[in-house]
Amino acid sequence: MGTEEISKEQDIDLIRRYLATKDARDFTLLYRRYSGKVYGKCISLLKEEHLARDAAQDIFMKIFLNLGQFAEQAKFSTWVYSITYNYCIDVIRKKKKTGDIFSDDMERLPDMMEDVHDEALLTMQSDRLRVVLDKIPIGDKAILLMKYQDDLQIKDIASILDKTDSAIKMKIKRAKHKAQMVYDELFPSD
Amino acid sequence: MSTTNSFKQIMEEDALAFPPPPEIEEHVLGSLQILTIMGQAMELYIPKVFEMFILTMGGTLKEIDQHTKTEPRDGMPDPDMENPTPGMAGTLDDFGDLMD
Repeated sequence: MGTEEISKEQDIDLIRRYLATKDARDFTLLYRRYSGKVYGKCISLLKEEHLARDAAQDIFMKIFLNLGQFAEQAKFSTWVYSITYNYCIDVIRKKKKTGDIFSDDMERLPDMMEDVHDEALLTMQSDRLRVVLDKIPIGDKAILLMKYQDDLQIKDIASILDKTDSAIKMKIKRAKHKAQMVYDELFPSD
Repeated sequence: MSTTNSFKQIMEEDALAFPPPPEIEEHVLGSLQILTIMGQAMELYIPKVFEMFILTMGGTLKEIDQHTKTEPRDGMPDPDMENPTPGMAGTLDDFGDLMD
């Protein structure tokens, strides 16, 4: 059994035990396991500490109140990150008011784009990737994080963004293209 | 094939650089405790509230008991039900002695 499988089983065991006994220690363990990553994502997407703090609180309250409805077919981490991204994207959309958070919302992109290989992004130096992610539209950043940081499947991302699978595939393609364009502009010597 | 994933590296770096403030844990776990206690209190007291409501509307504690009572295990008649009238358990006759 790999590390991921062990982690998944432990999450489910904690959830089942908490739902059966309502022992707060089980939920506390779940909270401590995910709080760092959830808060980190909130900071990364929302940028402001007070917004990230409020978001993390609301996200964990939502997790707690809906724990009984968690469908065990999915990984608990997938469910947690889905709630996190849904919440943060809602906050961003309300702040922007226009609702434009993807590059294809804001500019007309060519229909035929050279496909950017995953390796090109995955092997970027992390400090440079961080700069690139902060320069691209927030929706593009979120979709790349969902795909490459959290390993969410296309159907999960589609559910979070309320789009079809094919629309998500196109958005990922465009987000990768945008990221590569920004990288080439910022670091032309490479 | 490279196993490096800069996205995951960023996530680990962010988790270290931005530890969640302790007040988040206090708020979340504090709310959890309050909601758990409220749930337990409701489980204890809501049946009592219903009993009070039924009594206020003119029902009797016997009616409440009989609605919640299970069948006798040995098939013997329930000793609390003296000359029960089918479907009419608990009547004004119960107050007979009090009205004398």
